Formats: sequence, C-alpha cells, structure tokens
Amino acid sequence: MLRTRLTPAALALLPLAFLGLMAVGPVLRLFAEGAGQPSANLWADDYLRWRLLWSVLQAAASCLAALLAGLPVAWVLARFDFPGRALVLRLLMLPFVMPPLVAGIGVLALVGPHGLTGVDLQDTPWLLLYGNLFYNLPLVVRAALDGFAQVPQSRLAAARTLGAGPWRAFWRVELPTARPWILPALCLVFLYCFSGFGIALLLGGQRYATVEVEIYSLVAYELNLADAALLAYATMTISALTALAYALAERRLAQPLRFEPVARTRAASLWSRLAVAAALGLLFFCGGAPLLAVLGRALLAGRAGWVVLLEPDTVAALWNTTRFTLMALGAVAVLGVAHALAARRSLLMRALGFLPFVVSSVCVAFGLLLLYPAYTASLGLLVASYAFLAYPFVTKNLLSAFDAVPAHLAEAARTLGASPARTFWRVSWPLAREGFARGMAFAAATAVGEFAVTLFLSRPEWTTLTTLIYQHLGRPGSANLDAAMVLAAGLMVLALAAFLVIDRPARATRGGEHA
Amino acid sequence: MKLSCRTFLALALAGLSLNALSAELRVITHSSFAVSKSLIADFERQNGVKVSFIKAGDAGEMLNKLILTRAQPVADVAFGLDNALVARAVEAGVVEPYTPSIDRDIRQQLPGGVVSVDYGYVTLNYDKAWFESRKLPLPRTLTDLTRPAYKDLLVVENPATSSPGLAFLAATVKALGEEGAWKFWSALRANGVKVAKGWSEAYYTDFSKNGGARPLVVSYATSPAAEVFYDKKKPAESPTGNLFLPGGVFRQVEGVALVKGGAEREAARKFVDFLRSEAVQKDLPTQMWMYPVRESVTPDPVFRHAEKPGFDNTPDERTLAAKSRAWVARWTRVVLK
Amino acid sequence: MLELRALHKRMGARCLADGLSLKVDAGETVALLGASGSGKSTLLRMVAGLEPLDAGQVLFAGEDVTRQPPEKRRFALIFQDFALFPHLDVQENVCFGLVEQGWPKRLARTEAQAMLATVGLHGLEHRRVWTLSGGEQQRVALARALVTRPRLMLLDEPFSALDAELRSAMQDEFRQRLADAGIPALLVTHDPAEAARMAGRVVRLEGGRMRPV
Repeated sequence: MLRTRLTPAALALLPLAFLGLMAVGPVLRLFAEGAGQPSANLWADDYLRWRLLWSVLQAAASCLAALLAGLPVAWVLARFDFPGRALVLRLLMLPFVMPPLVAGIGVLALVGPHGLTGVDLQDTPWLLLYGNLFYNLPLVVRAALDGFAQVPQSRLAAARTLGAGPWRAFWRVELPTARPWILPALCLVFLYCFSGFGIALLLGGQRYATVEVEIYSLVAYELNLADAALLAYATMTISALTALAYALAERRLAQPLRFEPVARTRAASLWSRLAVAAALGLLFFCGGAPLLAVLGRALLAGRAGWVVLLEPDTVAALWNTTRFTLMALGAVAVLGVAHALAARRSLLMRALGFLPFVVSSVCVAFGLLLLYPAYTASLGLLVASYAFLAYPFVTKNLLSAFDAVPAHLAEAARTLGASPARTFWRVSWPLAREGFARGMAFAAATAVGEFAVTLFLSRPEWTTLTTLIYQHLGRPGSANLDAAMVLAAGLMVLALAAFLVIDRPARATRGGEHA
Repeated sequence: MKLSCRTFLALALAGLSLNALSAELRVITHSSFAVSKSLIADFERQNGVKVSFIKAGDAGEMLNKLILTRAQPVADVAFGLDNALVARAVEAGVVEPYTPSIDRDIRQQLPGGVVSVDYGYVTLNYDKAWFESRKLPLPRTLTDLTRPAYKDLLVVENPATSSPGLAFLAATVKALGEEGAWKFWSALRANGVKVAKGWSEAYYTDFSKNGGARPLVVSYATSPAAEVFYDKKKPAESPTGNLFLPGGVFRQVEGVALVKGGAEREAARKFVDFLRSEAVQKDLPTQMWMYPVRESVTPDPVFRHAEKPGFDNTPDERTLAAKSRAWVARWTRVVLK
Repeated sequence: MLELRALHKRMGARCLADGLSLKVDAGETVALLGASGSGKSTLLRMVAGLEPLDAGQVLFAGEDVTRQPPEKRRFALIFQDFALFPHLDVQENVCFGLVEQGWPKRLARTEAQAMLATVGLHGLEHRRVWTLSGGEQQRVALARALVTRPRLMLLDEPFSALDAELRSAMQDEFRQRLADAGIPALLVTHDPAEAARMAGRVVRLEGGRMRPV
C-alpha cells in the first residue's frame, strides 16, 4: 500500500527541475552569450515593431474569428440532436492533433496558388488566419459547448417567463453561464496563435510571418543574439501574461452542480435543420476541408507515389517516429501527472504548465547546445525535447479533470477510512483518468508531428516522418513532391491513430457528455 | 492507457545502448547532406570507427551552431562549409586547416584549409511549358526581369534564411555593384518579386512547375537534371531549364573541414580524404545534386540535363564573409520593409 | 461517547464556533438545528476531521481524536448529495470502506450484498449509481456508511434532496437502522420537524454556541 505522502511542494520539484534544465537554463545561457553584442534599438525599428504588432494582431483576430464562428456552432451542437452528433463531437478534436506540416500543406492545397477551390490566398494574411482557425475553432467550439451544457433548464425557463425572448435569453443567461468556459479557451487560442511557430512559418510567408519566425532568423541565421533576446523577452512577457490569465480564468470554473441541463431538441423544423447544416458546414470548411485536401493531393500522386511508403527510409522513419513517441510518452506521463498534482492549488504552477509554449523553441534549441555540448545529438536530449513540447497537454487536461472532481467525493472517501494517498488512487485518479488519457493522446499526436523538434540537433538514423517529408521537399523533382504529399497523408493517419488508440471513448460517465 | 512502464524502459534502454560502439567520429552536416549508406559502411569497416552524423539544419545554421559551441565542439568534422561561409568559419576559429592526400585533379578549391568536395551553380530555373504556352520569350538580362512583361513571374529565396537566396543576391551585387544592385532589387520589388523563406517553399509552393504561380525561380543548375531523374516517366527533356542571366549566376563550392578542438583526429582526416575518394565523388552528384570536384570523375549521365554556365558572378570568399550581413540587412530594407 | 470541548473556528470574518461544547451519549441521536450559514455543516466537518479547528478538543470514548486524520476516526459522514462515486457501481460503492479496512475482496462483496439487501436494494448491485432514483441513492449512501460499522454517524442534511413523502419514509428508516446498530449519531438539519422526528435530543446552533431547544 502506498503510504508516503507526497506533498505538492515535493511533487513540484520534478517538473520545476525539468523546466529549469530544459527551458530557463538554456534560454538564459543563450542570451548571456549575446549580452556583449551591440544591439539595435528595437523599438525604434519600424520593421521589428510591425512584426511584434502583427503577431499580437493576428492572434487577436484569430481569437475574434474563432469566437464569432465558434459560438453559434457550439450553441447549435449544444441544443439540437441530430444523427451523427456524437461522431461530430469526437471528430471535433481531429484538427488539433494534426501536425502543422499537414495543416500547412492542406491549407495551401485548398486556398494556395492553384488550390482546389480556385481561390489563391497566398501572400495575404487570410492564409495564416485560416491556418489558425483550422487549429483553434474546434477548441472554442468544444469549450463553448461544455459551457452551454452547464446552463440549467430552470434558469433558462426563468429568463423566458420573465419576458426574455430566445435571443435576449441567450445574451443574458446562456452566454454569461458559458463564459467561464469560453474565456480560458480564448486565452489558449491567443497563446497558441501568438507563440505558434510551425504554422506561421509555413503559412505566414515573408510579410505575415510572426515574431517567433523573426527570432528564428535572428538566432539561427544571423547569430544576432542581442536583438533576438530583446524580441524574445518581449514576446515571452506577452505569452506569460496570457498563460497567467488562462490559469486565473480556468481556476474560477465552478464546481459541477446538480441540476437539470437544458434538454436537446431534435432538429426537425426547417430552420433548425438549416442551423445544423450551417454549423456542420462551417466546421467542415475550417477543420475538415484542409485534411481532405491533403488526402486528395496524396491520391493524385498515383500508385507510383504511394510506393514511397514501402521504401526502407520510410519504414525506418515510421519506426523512429513511433519509438520516439513512445519514449517521450513515458516521460510525459510522469512529468504531466507530477505537474498537474503540484498545480492543483497553485496558480503559479498552473501558469508554469504553459512554459513550453511561452519560451521560444529556437532559443531553447540553441541554448541547449550551449549548455550541454556533451549531450548534443544524444537520444536522451532528443526524447527530453519531445517530452518538453508535449507534456503541457497532459498537465492541462489532467488539471481540468481534477478541477471537475467534486471535493466532497474525496472527503467521503476519507471518512470511509481511506488515507489521502488511497483517496487519490481510488477516487480522484479514476475520475480524472479520462482527462489524463486525453492529455496523453494530445501529447502523442504532438510527438508524432512535432515541428519544433526539427530545430534540435538530430542524426540521420533518427529521421522521423516529419524530417523525411522535409528531406523530400528539399530536392527538386515531381517524385519528391509526390512522396512528400503521400508521407504527409501518412503522418496525418498516424497522428490520428495515436490519438484514437489512447483516447478511446470511455465507459459512459454521468451525463455522458464529457467526451 | 495500457502501455506499461516496462515497455518504455526497455525501449529507452535499447535506444541508448546503440551508442555503445568503440570509437565514434562525429560529423556535423547541413540537412541536405547525403552519401550512400554502403559507402559509409565500407569506410567504417576499413577504419574501425563508427561514423555518427549530426544534422544541424541549413548550412548557415550549422556554422552558427559550430561557432556557439567552439569551446566544447559537438563534432569532429563539419561538412557543408561553402565559399559564402568559409571565411567566417575560419575567422571564428572553428576550422583546423588540413591538406588532404588527394589534392591534384581538383577543379575548385576553398581557402583556409577547408577541403572542397563538390560545387554547383545557383541560377534561375524556368518552367519550359509555361513560357512555351504563353509564347513569351525568355528574359535575357537581369534588367528584363524588372520590365512589365515579366511582372509577378519571379520567386526568390530570402537571403536572410536561405543560402541560394544569399548566393543570388551576392551575384547581383558582384555584377551590378552595390548601388546598382539596390536599384535593381527595388525595381524588382516594384515588379512583384515574390520572396519565399527557403528553397523548398520557393520551389514547391511558388514555382509554376509544381503548382505555384511563378515560372521563374532561384534554384540550382542541376535542378533540371534532378527533375528528369525523379520523374517516373524519365522524359528525354527536362520540364525546367537553366536561365544563365549575366549577373545572376553564383558558383557555390562546398567543403569539409576538421573542427578545431575535435576528437578522433586520425579518423577525421581519413574521413576528409574519403569524401574526395573516387567512390564518393561518383556517388554524390545524384545524392546531393552537385558536381564532383575531381576532374577525372564523370557524374551520372542524367547530368547532361545540368549544363554548366560559361561564366559566374561570384564574389571572393573574403568579400562574402565581410559583406554578407550588411548586404542582407540592406536587402531586407529594400525588398521587404 | 462523543464530546466536543470549547471548539473555536473562524472563517474569514465569520465566527462559526465560539467556545462550542456538546456531548453525544452511546446510542443517542442528537439533532443540530440551525439557519443556513450558522456553521452547522462546518461543525460536522470538524468532527469528521475534514476541517481543522482553531482551538478546542474532539474526544471520542475518552480518547482525544482532535489531531487524528478523518480516515482513522471511523466516523461515517453522509453528505447532502450522498457523494456516491460515479466511477463505481452500487456494490463497489458499498465495498469501498471495507476494502480500506483490509477486508478480502470476496468477503467484502458478500458483506456488501447482505447490507444492500438489508436496505432493500437487492438486485441493484451492478447498477451505475447515477441511474438510481434519489431514494435509492440515499440508501446506497446509508449502506456504504453502515457497512463499515462506524463508531459515530454524521448526517449532513441527508434528506433535503428528497421529496416530502420519501423524506419522512427515509427518516423513519434511518432512525430504525441507527437504533438497530446502536450507533450514536449527530444530525445536522434546518428542519425542526425532521430534528424532532429523528433525534432524542435537539440543540440549536446560534452565534457559534449551542443553545438547548
């Protein structure tokens, strides 16, 4: 029997040490290296100022767009029943587990030059916005859906009997009830869009690249560490504040109460059917179409293109991707659980859970090189990098799950004779396990398609699917392009499989809505 | 989650134990480095050493990583220092000069004790079908590119993030002089030049041959040959061609160097020699799409689609090292800001 | 049996217990009446060991249990909303405490089945708890508490979630079971009728002190 009492403080040591070694140390070390360099006056430089401003603008615009599109979609999904609704809810997470490379290729195949739609959005900011929506619309829909599901039937009925029409009731009852769910989601969307690296690099082009891409150029190509440090401090401040806002907003989520939720009605009337169709159409346009475009592009490669899947290089890359993902998941599980446990009552630890998204990946990659030259291109460091980029998903999902466990259940267990450790093992953990599995699924999908890992030193024998796609895209010739497209489709399938295997639909729990 | 901890441990240990071979030679390369595996295996067998390659991104990125870690080198040999980077590498003190055993019969040399291995030309490629279908004559000078007839037809790589981009910029500066070059680039901007982050983006998303909208791209003189080589139908003619405009051709010479302070000196020297051996020189053209520096080595017949220009506009190594950053900064202001 | 000596507890500006003392004798049921916000639920949580005291002592059978963690006290607490574990079925819920006491699984199951039969839930052993009616959930909570043979039963408004008819039936049933088992109980309620029906003695909590009714 587990008798040791691991206090939150002790549990925090593991993730804190990891973050210190993998993020804080390397970044500080890198910027210490650049401390002597003369630096331009950043804020006087129009170009860099525009980059920073644009980064904030595009993230804010993405939030707004995701909110405007996501609210009606979520409302329709929350209030109407229709065949295949459960499937739609499950598919909702699909874009989020897609590697940026796949998303980028998909968006370009759809609205790039000679895209399937015939609309060319290249060299416009819309391309990046589309990419951002692809990832983040489902996030907002999911959160708002959870929020709308918390509206008690009685509260809505009260509003209606007090003279509010459906529209007024939405504004004055439903939206305020759902707001605690929507606000943290918007913080996350801002954080992802602002600090996102892969998708901005792929879709931003030269004019609409984000500041993260600028830091990448400054560090990797110009070795201009002084300017990079200035920019990085500015962006990290903004992301850190966003992460803190998220932690604050999320912690205020109410404990689940006992109530009768608003019942869903069958979409039978014409207008309700139209509403469902419009919601599904919008979801498909943002989340499904780019993925289908990737598949379509791969199919166009023909049988000759698909041969690439049988090549020894591909098989080796597939094995590497699988094995690194599994190894990373081991570390991710330990770090994620320890961090989530330590963060249950600490706002700071909650915000720190997002540190891997807050610090600039390229600065981490170069800083690691400086800090641990003896371990560069070692498997341990590679796996640690994967774990670093993937474990926040476990922390985040597990924490939300812990927050949702009613406190009195743990108390009941205590009065029935269970020690704190036993209570955790027999009550809190089983109830939060679904959140853990979901976090692990996100982490696995991230590890499968992680883009930023390409920044770290690697070895040819460690070629993963992502790097293999880049290798093909690095050589001229139609066979290489076809191979890249087929592999991108393969990567998509693999990320999806990783997600589905781990995040299996659990036994129905109360309400059955916590999918 | 039913994946047991034991599975993770076993996998992790299996991965770690791979590194437990005797002597290890660490070779850092840019991401496009490729030599047939069988040749590497032969080298390992003959010299009783395990060669570990470390991929460090683009060539410029690799040099920066070498410079950052010069106090504790992360590799013993570095492949991919070219004539644009070599002077900076020597100046930063990351190179230990070496004269290889095979030093005659060599076409292109690099200074500073860096050993040349292959070379190529950065130049414009054009989409043959596109120009034919529109009956548009090919541009004949750099200035033609700034004329309305060729508006929105060219994509170049950003010299800040791409070595062919920097090479093309350097060639224009060499041919037109600094002031002339900035005038040319600003006219090019007005005529709708597209800037891509790197070669892959330019070639695969912007070049009309691959579904983009622009029939002119800054690429390599060997790209048309690769187009034939990697085409399932093995056409007699390449779908793309080289456009050697005066002032638009850069000769790139790639080399290998011993890293100062690295270990395994004997094996490292042998590896440098190995890259100049006939077997490797014969192998690399269709691996890395560069010409071999050994004059006596004839590359694969597909290289008849990769004709060489009769001229180039390449600044010398020292100018490249001294001026590149200033050129890139100025270029960014002229073309992007 | 249970003796509370001069308990003090403040929460923010509110004083919930101000030198509060109370005795519950063996086999006795005491009802604690109080308006909402009077601190009666907190008092129950302090007795259970779920809430620390500012000052004072909790004694049981002469032993000072003030510093004992809740799992060592063997006091059962029945919550207002029953606090059944949603990830366990009915029988597993009832077995929970027995497993903690180290009972072998098979014995615990037999014991739980017997207890379920006693409270009239025979045949529902493998139902998910949230599919049960309010009265059935209430009985599961009772069975889960009784089966561990607690030394003291703490009842926190256990009938407030039930409709009137069911409520009085359950009140009678609880009183009977507690009497049969001879377990002393402390009941917290805001309903004087319920207090009178269930308890041999009723006290009122006001301003952090006990007042006899």
